[in-house]
Amino acid sequence: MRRRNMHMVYLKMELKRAGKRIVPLYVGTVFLLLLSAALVLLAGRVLYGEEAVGRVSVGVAMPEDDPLAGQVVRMLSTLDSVKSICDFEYMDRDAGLEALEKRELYALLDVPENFVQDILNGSNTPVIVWMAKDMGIEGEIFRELADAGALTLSAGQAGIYAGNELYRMYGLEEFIPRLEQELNRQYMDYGLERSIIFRHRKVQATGDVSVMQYYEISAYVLFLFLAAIPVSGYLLPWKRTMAEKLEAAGVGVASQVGARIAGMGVLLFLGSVPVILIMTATDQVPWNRILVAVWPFTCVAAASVVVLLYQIAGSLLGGIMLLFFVMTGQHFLAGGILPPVFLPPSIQKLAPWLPSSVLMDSMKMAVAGVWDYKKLGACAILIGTAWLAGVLVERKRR
Amino acid sequence: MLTAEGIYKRYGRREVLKGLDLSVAPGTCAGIIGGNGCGKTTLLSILAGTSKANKGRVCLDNKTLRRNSKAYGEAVAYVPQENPLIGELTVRDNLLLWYKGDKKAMTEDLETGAGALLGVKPMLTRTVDKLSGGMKKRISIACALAGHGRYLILDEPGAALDMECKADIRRYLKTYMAAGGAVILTSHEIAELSICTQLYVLRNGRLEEIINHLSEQEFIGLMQK
Repeated sequence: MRRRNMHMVYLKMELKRAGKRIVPLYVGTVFLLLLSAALVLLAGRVLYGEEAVGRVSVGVAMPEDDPLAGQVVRMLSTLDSVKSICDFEYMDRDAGLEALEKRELYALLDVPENFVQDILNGSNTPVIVWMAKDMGIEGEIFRELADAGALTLSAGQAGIYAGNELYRMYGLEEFIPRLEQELNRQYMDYGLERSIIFRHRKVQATGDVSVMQYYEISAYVLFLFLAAIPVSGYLLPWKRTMAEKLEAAGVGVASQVGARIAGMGVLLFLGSVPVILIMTATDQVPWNRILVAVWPFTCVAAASVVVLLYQIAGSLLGGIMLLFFVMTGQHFLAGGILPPVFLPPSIQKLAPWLPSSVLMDSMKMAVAGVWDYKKLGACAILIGTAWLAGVLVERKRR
Repeated sequence: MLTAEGIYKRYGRREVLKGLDLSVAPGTCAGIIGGNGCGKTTLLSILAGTSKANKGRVCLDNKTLRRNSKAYGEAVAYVPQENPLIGELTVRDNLLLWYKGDKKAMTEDLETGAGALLGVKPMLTRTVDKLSGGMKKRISIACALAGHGRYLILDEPGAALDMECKADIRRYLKTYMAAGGAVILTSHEIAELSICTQLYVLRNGRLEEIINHLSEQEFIGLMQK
């Protein structure tokens, strides 16, 4: 009976040890909550200011005696997708280029003479778009918007030309102007004003969750990792003699590491109660059965990573340093501070594999209210990998 | 009888133990002396079964440790130099761990067994971290003897303890031997080694027997010379 029960007795002792650290954990929790709230507010202010991005000033140089072109540009400027981030200023070409040079504008649209007529007659004189160099994220967004607009227009054009060809084939040439007029109106209405079709869909950098939800989840995950700092003493690997005696008593390295992960997981679960309460009280994360399942799972996953880091470090100070720098670093790379879409492509590829990303995805599942077994599986793989690595590190250390 | 035959142990390129032999019979005490870093702790950990020799074998009653690790583990109690205790927990919790959760056996020992002789009972509710070195050592011995081992291996049991505590532990070891238990210990102190019936010096990776079957008075006299 003894050897079989020894694992349970040892697990009970580990949990008791963990229980002794609850007070320092809560003191640390209060401090960390204040710190993370300040960091998130500061990051939000520094990165975004009042809005997701700054306004994009765009100059429009138009031929003076082309009311039709003016009408098209004015219509473009009132589209939801354009007016939400762009300010159109009408000016002559030279003044526009000068403003572009002085970096007062992000871009200049140089609309040619007979722009609309050329579209209708098929000669398609292009609008020249002058872009300022290195204008940051706003410049990039405008470039994307302009490309998307050009694509929409070209698709519209292709539709009109196809209609014209069809009418000619059936000898209906006299109806072509009416067809063009009608198709132009429809493309303008439905093609450019995409919000009519996609009004319910909100596209944002943070994915399927709101910015506030995103940062609350991010703060929660970072909290799980950093909450280990006030209870570092608990995470120190056993001294060699103790570890060897436990092993001789039947509690192998795998069980020792596993029990430590369980103990730390319980501690993180208890420590994160106020954090989860805040998240649910602010209506950012709904209280549902997915959250009830995912919450302890994320705590154990974070515990497995934390235990591994302290085993690698092997000392109190080393553990604290390693935990702080590695976890905040990977949290940034995982998109915990800036959503991944704003990070370089190579980092975007790496991000899903990082612990913060795995934990955030699991929590997003609770927000979405839909089970995603892939995300749960990723979390389980993280726990398994960290546990296995912990066993290997511990064996090597001895 | 606990025997070690042809024990070799190497750390990297450094050979610490080079074909060492030792046998300890019930009711006796083998003392091992030697300079710092000569391999005393390594030898004890091999005898305790917590580390493995590169070559050679350790037997208990002619059965090898490798093939009878469970029985060996129950028969041999090991108290390393560093107390293997969980500092945050109480003495009771520490004892319970090594008694494998068997409260009944623990209570019995605290009343009449090793725990009683070592005076552990009054400390049960105290946190280990808050105890003195001597108290921790007593608890370490009590924990090691939770399985009622017939062989007790101690690595410098008196290190950093006061005279009174050392005397208490010595007294306990004599009682243990009188009850048929065997002790193997390392030490640098004459008083501690005075209970030994055999004394070895560990030099160049081998044991040399220097004293065998002396009385305590004879031993002290010899050491004083």
